[in-house]
Amino acid sequence: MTDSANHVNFYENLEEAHRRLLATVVMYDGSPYIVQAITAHRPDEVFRVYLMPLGYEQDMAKPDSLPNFSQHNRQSPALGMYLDKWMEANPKQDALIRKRMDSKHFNKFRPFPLGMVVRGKHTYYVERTPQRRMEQGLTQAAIVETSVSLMPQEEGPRSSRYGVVHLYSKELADCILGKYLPAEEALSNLLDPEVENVSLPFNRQFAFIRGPVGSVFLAYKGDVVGVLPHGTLEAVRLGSKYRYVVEAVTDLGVFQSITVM
Amino acid sequence: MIIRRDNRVAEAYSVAVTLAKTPTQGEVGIEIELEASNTFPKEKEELPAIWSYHKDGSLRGFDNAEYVLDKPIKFDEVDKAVDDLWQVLANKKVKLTPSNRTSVHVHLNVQGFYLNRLTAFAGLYFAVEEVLTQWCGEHRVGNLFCLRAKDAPAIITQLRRFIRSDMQTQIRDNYHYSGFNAHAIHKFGSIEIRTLRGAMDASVIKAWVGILRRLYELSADFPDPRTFVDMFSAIGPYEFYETILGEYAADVQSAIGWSNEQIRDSMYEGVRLAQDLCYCRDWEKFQAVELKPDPFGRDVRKLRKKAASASVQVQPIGFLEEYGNEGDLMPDFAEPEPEYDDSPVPAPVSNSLSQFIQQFGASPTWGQPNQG
Repeated sequence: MTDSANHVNFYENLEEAHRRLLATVVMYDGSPYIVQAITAHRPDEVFRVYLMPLGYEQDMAKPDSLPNFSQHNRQSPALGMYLDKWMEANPKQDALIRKRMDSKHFNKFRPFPLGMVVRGKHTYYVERTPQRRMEQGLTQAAIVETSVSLMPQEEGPRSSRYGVVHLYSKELADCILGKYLPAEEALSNLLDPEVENVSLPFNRQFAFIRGPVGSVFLAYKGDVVGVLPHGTLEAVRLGSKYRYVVEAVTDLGVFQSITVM
Repeated sequence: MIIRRDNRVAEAYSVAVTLAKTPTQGEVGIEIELEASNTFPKEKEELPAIWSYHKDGSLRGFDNAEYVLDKPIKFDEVDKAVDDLWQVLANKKVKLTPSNRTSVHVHLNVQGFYLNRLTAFAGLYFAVEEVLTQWCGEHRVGNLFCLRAKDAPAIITQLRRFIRSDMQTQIRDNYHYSGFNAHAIHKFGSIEIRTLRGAMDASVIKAWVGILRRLYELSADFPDPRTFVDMFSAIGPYEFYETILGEYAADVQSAIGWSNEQIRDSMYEGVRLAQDLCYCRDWEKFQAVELKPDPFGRDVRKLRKKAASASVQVQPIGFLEEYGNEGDLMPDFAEPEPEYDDSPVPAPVSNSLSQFIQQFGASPTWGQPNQG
């Protein structure tokens, strides 16, 4: 099978690369980054991409810990030269990395899995949604969130533009990287009266929700699908309309017994 | 006071009736985007009668064109239609150039579908979407203009809302950039499949429409969409893949070069997405009611209510006998009623696995194209 034209820099020119990627979140070698700049200042014609780790927290006591991206026009080769100099002058910095646009580690800027995000005391199920816009990388407008809660979700997911999960947050970075507490730890925290969280995920698609009088429920994506009748990982009982989740729950390998009401 | 849940079976109408779409004949609409190193024919008289040239601002090249079928055609007419267009391009010595800007969009008419068939069709598509997108072109995988449900699972979430609400929820314009564009249902009463890469020859388009036809027709065999998910559990992932894609299964696998294990993994993931749709409502409480779409695109349900309260029939008995088809009076609808009006109303829903195994274990119709 033939495929269509391929470009050295994946996109046809710098303008298109900017339009598709600037200020969006992309994956590089399995980790999420914010695309800060793309430049065409090297003689080899390969663009250089300047990336900041998603969730990077700037030390406010050190205002120079980040380069000034607005110092040069984003189309200008001078921006690339300035950033290179800044990186050379700050060899220990961890705010910025520079990568070749043709690196296979970008995985062609394809979307990546999202899922459960912890924000404050609450958990949100976050999904990418198509947008009639030009960005290939993840944008704030392209994520929608559903509160993982015992409250009915009649309204469906809401756009994160009006929600609480921020695109550049460490919480979203943890979600993308699949950093979750083990199920035992998530459950024991929810059962601890000193812990204020009302829900905690233990997987990209599953979370526990604290119910009244010591009860604990199981959420799958945006739905409450079952209950832990003993408040332990010994057993989970799924609602009959969620019987189709049995295989996914079994694959977790977390519960000793799974029954359907 | 005890308030009990209303467990009555709700009457459900076809897409055309529910969304008050003007009836459209034909099953397939096609849009073909092309770029070339010389000029395209653009005048109507230069093209086969059923094709028109459209300008598409997103295309580049020395010259470019988007050719669109003037109206939907039957599946059986697709091969000739595409061949005729390519013949014109060949006669004009058009030199097509490969481009990752071009693509082929196929609209499938679902006006005659009820929600259960629409759900089954969507579920079947999502089950094999990853494999099919790979076949459609490497650069179509994860492409922002045709995102898969795997890339953007909110596509499934939005469709669930649409299905649960009996089509009363709007699928917003931003869903246009899904590989499975369900927003088109509000515009045209169709599902637009945007996944295929720009084609350099006619055979790719014909094969792609053939694959989509397979899923489209197969969807009629699952009046309860849950049954195909149960089938997956019963027969296993690879057999499921072969059953769903039928005669195309081997060619697709060979073209993408995937091992049986990769196909299996993909089916597991695809069915997980599909089951969120197929189980999103209780299909036992779903009853399809046949109403003819109004030729003027008015809401037939409202007309029916109004007619009932005024004791007047919307379509008087003897109307057709006396005047013939409505089309005889209205040039815009000068052809017979759409075929879906002649289709039987989907059979009553059954959902248990044992019923499924009985049904499909014994049924000789499994795997054959639906005739409806």
